[in-house]
Amino acid sequence: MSDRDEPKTSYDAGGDIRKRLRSPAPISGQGSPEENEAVSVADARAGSRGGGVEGEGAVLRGGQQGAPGGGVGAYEQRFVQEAGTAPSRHVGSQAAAEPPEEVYPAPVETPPRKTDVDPAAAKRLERIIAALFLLPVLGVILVFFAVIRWQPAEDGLVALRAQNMLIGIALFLALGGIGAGAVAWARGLMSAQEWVQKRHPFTSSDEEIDGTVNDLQAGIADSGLPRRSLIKRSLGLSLGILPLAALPLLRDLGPLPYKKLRTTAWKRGARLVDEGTGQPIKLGDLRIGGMATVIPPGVHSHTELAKAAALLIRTRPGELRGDTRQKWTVDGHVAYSKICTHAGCPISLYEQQTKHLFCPCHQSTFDIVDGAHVVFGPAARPLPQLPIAVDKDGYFVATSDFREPVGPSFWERG
Amino acid sequence: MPPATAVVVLALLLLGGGYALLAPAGRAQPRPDQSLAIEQGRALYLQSCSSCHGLNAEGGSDAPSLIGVGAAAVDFQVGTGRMPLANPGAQAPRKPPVFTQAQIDQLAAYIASLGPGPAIPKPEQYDPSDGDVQEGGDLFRTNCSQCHNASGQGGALSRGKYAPSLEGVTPKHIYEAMLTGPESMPVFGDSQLTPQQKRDVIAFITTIREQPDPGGFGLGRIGPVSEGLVVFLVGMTLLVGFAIWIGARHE
Repeated sequence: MSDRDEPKTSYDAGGDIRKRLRSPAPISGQGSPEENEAVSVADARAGSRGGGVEGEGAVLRGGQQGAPGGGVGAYEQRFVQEAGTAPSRHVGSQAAAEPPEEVYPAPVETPPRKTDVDPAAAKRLERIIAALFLLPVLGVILVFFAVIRWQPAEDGLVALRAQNMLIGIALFLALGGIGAGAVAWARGLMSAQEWVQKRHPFTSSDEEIDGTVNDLQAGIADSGLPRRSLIKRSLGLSLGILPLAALPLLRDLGPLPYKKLRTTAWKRGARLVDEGTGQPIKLGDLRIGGMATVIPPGVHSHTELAKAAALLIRTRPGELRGDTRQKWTVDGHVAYSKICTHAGCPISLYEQQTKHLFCPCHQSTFDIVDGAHVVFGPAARPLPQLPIAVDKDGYFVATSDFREPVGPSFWERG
Repeated sequence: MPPATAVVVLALLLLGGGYALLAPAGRAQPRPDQSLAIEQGRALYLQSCSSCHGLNAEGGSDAPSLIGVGAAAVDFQVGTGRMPLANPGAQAPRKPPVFTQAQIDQLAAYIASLGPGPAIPKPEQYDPSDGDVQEGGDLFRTNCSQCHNASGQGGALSRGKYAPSLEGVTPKHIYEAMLTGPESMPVFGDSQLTPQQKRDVIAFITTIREQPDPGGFGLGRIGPVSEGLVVFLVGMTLLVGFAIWIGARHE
């Protein structure tokens, strides 16, 4: 396709194409002599720069017996001989001349092993390898034995443990035997010498590169894209606006939370039930410094409990201060949501000396006696306070739901 | 050794030996009557506790008042070696107790005489064989596991404080800890967790402590987190080392 006759050198594939697209080479029948001149200078520069890339062979090191079976090694040897007799398989490239041999490190000579010089030693190793390869037979027998010997459904945990242990050991023997045999085979019997595998260069031929570049340039010229700015801009606009169509689709990925995150199962008159004992808590049940996880009665949905869980904490009378809403407390008792306002972890690491509530997930720390405001950590808001009172029977009750959403922030929280 | 030094060493030896002979530590005698115990407890208190807690147990700038904390708190704090405090820090660590049980009882009697507080529980109150392990597990997971970990291994709190491991803590001290809420721990009074429920919790703790680790190592008994870490670090290192060995050249 190229009608140029100046000699070409090898290419540094990607970079060279980009360079040539920026300073276009002449297409057949087009272009001026000056352009031709400029391109040839660029080509010459590129050719001299890419001097280290061309070359017929690369030495592969270290793979003395990495692949199982002797076939690959033999193939590599044949390939080396073939490459040696016909050095230039890359016909199109004029840079295919054999590079100087000393560029590549010579393969390292490995001293012979015992199994290389002593056939008896090799025979012994062969028997050992065979024995290792037979271990899976023993392993499979042991697996069957373990399954038949113990019946965990009847014999209980001890039997299950023994069965698991024996199955594990048996499978270790089986798989380990194959692996150890393969390793011993490769290290002891297969050739330990290094091989040279020659490879052709990775770049395409000059003709292919020229052809691709010319095709691209011809296509661009034919489309008239550089000239027809109306088409260019309208196409750009439509491509830019297209992703907006995905927005309503993304919005429909899940239902919006609506009121679900704003309300919990607490309501006026709901008794505070100890989550551990299931008993409603009376005034006086907690001692000063005491704490209980409380839930509303009769709620079994885990989703509801996850939102409604609260802590009832008793402090010394008069200790609650600051931002604590005093009307929502009873005689030093205060209730806060148990759900961290940062990432929603349940918090009940209550340090009764410092009156701090500590979240184990990200170390947010809330001051219980001062409106549960954040004294440390990533939480952005105090814990919501649950309004509580005592009913005529002396039990703690909520006087309403939480007045703000519990848990972490969400988009529509406001 | 110069004579003067020898004399000093001899004097020190005599003093030390004499103290060891006369110190109340050696006397395991039947419990004296209450007023005598209070008197001896006060002597011990003045000697070992009053510098921080005050001459009348009224508390100080760095130590709480002990009036009304009860005998159970003294038995727990001194019996687990947390008090007397070796050095101030975020939290008093557990260490071998300094006093004998007889001395601790005297101290407890003195503190209990200052104001009403929870008494030392009787053995039948904390006998784990009377507890319901399953019920105790429920209560433990609700009230204890957030700090002490699901298997009682303990865990970190804020600013250097921590919930200690429950390994090796006697049932009596577990009971007293629930009753009195030492340091950061909340109080679980008898109206919140009844004595029977406390027994259930103790039964659960002693049961999981006795469970064997089938793999040989407990690894903190926190489940797949530590197990995965060990497998990842040790197992991966072994595999990498093995791969290097397989690929190594014969020398």
